Amino acid sequence: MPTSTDLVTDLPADFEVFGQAVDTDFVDLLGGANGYILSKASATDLDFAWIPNDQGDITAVNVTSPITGGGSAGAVTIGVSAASTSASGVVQLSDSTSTTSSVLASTPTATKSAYDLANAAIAKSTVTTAGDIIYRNATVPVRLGIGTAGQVLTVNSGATAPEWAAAASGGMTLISTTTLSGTSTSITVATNTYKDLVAYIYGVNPNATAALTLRINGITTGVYQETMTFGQENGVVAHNVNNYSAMNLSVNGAQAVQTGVTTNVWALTFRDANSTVRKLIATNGNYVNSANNNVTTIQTDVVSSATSAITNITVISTQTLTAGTVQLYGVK
Amino acid sequence: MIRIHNTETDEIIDREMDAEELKQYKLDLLSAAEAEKQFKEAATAKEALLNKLGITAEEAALLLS
Repeated sequence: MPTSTDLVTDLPADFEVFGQAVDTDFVDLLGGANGYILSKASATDLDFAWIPNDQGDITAVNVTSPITGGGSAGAVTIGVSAASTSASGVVQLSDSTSTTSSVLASTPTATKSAYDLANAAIAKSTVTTAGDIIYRNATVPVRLGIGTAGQVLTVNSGATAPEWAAAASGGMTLISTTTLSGTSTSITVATNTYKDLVAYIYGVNPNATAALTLRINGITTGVYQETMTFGQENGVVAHNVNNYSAMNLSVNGAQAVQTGVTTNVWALTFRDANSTVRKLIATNGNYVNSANNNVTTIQTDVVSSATSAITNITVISTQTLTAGTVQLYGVK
Repeated sequence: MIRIHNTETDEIIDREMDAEELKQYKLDLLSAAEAEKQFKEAATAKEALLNKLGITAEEAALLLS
């Protein structure tokens, strides 16, 4: 290139040299794409490169749920959706141990409260077998395994713990209370574990001519060898020994209502009720004879040929009963 | 009508008697009537004997004591 003091110049050649120098120096300005910006490529003068215009500040905020808002220009606002059982989001903490909320989250405080209660509770593993019960020994809850059939819960000899033991014998246990109805009432004791059975029959209200009989285990054929004494307050006394298909509880009918008289009651004892020996049945009854209004005492001792355990007692009336109760007790 | 009380389940069933039960029930009626007849006959015979002897039942009991 010529200088300002040169007298002779070759301008075309000089401009060509100048132009070539400009091309060389500014070659980095060539090219690029729409929206690209110049960036220094190195510390060397005029060393540039075109780069995408994505440098520096955030150019857009794009969001996905549970973040809301966003944008690519101006002030950008974002938020977070609340959490629910069907969507993620922010949740509010709660110390409550009783809330039923589905959108609150428990704090360590609440968790500890629940933990402390669980830690103080009786472990489920304390019991292991059906029928186990739990009691406390001197220090901790422990299990008591189920007893055997017929045993009762009692306190041990040291009065320190419960235990299973054989039921005391001799007491009477009410098995059932049955209201008589119709002409036949059948009381079943499918599993008879009692040595003896005792039955009270009272308040029977048949028609005036009704007579009551009783049968065990449905046995019908001439098997009740009966010794009966029958006395009335008018002095009539009768004695009879015979075989019947059912044992007699009354003759001539038991009257239901008479002023000043307890109308009727029978007490029956079934001896060896759950054994395989022949059955002795002792009966004492009082009733108002419907034929003459006399109070009647009837005592019947029966030997039944039944040799199986008594599992059924049937009260039979010759007329339809409108009232009457059978209380059945077991004696060990 | 027959009532069946299961004491283990406490279930109570009221129903009509079936043919077999009805047949037995009719036999039971006859048996009860027979028992009543026997007692009446025994009482009548006893009363007739006391009258024949000219003593009361209490006096007869005293004789047998």
